[in-house]
Amino acid sequence: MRGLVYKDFKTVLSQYIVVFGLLALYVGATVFFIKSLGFFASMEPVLMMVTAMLAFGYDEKSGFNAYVRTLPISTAQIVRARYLFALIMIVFTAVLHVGVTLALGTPWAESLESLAFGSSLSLLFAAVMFPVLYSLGSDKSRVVFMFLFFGMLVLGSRGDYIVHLGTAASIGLFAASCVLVCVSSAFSVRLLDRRSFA
Amino acid sequence: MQNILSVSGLDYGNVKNVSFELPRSGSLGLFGENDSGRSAVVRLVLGMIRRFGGEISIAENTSVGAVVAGAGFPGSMTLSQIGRMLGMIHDSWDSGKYSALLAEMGLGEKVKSGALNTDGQMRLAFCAAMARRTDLLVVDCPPDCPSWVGERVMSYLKETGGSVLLSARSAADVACCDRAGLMYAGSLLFCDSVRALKEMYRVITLDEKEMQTVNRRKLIGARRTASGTKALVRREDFKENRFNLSEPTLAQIAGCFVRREEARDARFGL
Repeated sequence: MRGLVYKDFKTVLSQYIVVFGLLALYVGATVFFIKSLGFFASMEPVLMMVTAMLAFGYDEKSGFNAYVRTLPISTAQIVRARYLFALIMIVFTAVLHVGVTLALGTPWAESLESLAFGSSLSLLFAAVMFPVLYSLGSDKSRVVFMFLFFGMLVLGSRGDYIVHLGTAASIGLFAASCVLVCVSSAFSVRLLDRRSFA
Repeated sequence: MQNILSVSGLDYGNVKNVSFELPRSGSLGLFGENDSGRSAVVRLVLGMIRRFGGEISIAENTSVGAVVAGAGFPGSMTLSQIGRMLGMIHDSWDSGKYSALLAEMGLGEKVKSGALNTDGQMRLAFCAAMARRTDLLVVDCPPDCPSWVGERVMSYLKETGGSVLLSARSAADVACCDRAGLMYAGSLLFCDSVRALKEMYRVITLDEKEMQTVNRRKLIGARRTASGTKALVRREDFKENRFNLSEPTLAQIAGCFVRREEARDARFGL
C-alpha cells in the first residue's frame, strides 16, 4: 500500500505546475481578494479532487490500473491506498488552512469551524467521486466532477454564511463524512473487483 | 507432476470452455491470430478481467510476474522511482538486480516510463518481474513479438526453474516453450507438449490415386499443392509404409488445424 501511495505522490508531483498553480490561485484569491476563510474551506475538496483525479488519470493512461492487478496486492489494498492518498491531501489542505488563518488573522474558533467544514466537504467529495471514478474511469467522471465543482463554487461564494454551523453540527458533519468515506471505500472495492481491464 | 497452474472451462466473451494445465517448471506457449482469445486467457489468469465461468487455480504461495503489453507503469515516473515503488510492494525485491537488468536491457534509470515505446515498456515489465522471486512468469506479447522475449524466457527457465505462460501470435514466437496451445476464435484447439504433438501427427502428401483410397475424414486441413494434396494426419491412422509422411513443424500443425476450423466455419456460413 505504501508503494501505491508513493506512486500517487510521484505522479501528481510530476504535474507540479498544475497543482502548485491551483494552490497559489486559491491561497492568493483567499488572502488578497476574497479574504474569506469560508471560500478557502469550500475549495479544499476541489484541491483534493484535482490531485486524486490526476492520479486516477495517470493510472488509466499508462495501463497501471491493469498492471496493479497482477501485483500481490488485494483490491481492498489498492482502493485503501487511493483513499489514504486523498486523506493525506486533506491533511495537507488543512495545514494550508491554518496558514491562511494566520494570514487573514481569523479567530481560531472560527478557523476550526471552517476547517471542520472544509475537511468534511472534502471527505464527502471523495466519498461520492471515488466510486464514480472506479466505476466510470477518469474521463467519464469529469462530468460528475464538474457538477460538484460548480456546486463548490456556489458554496464558496456563500462560504462564510455556511461554515458557521456551530460546534456540535460541525463535529456531527465530520463524523458523518468519515462514516460515508468508509462506506464509499467498501463500495469502491466491490466496484473495482467487478471491473475488467481487457 | 504437480501443476503450478490449472485452468478449466474458462468462459469470457469469445473465450469458450478453455482448459489447460501447466506443470511446475514447465512452459506453455499459447498462440493464435489476433482476436483468437489468447490475450484474454492470459488476462483472465492474471485476474485483470473477471471470468464469466470456469476455474483458475494457481498453486499456493506462487509468486506471479507479469509482462503484459498495454499494462505499464505511470509515464511520469522514472525507472528508478518505479524500482523504489516496487521495492515497497515486493518483499523479495532486489534493487541491485533491478538496476543490473535495466542496464542489460538498455534502459536508463533516469528515463521516464512514458518515454518508452511498447518494446521498452515490455523490457521494463520484464526487469520488474525478474528483480524479485517469480515462480510463474506470464508474458502477453503484442502482435509483433520482440525477438528478445524468447531468449529471456529460455534463460529464465534455465536459471530459476520457474514456469512460463507465454502468449504470442505465431508458433515461432512460442518455440521457447516445451508445451504449445493453439487458440482459434476463443477455443483452444490443442494443448500438449510440442514433442508429443510432433510424435502424434504427420504431414501426408497424397496424389490423386491415393486420395481415392484414404478416409478423407481423417485428413486435417487438407490443401492442394503442386506436389499433391497435403494434410495433417494422426500417425496411428496412417501406419502403412506406402504413404509419404513427414514430421510436422508446430506451424504446420497449427496451420492445418486452423484450415480445418475455417472450412467448418465456411460450411456453416460463419
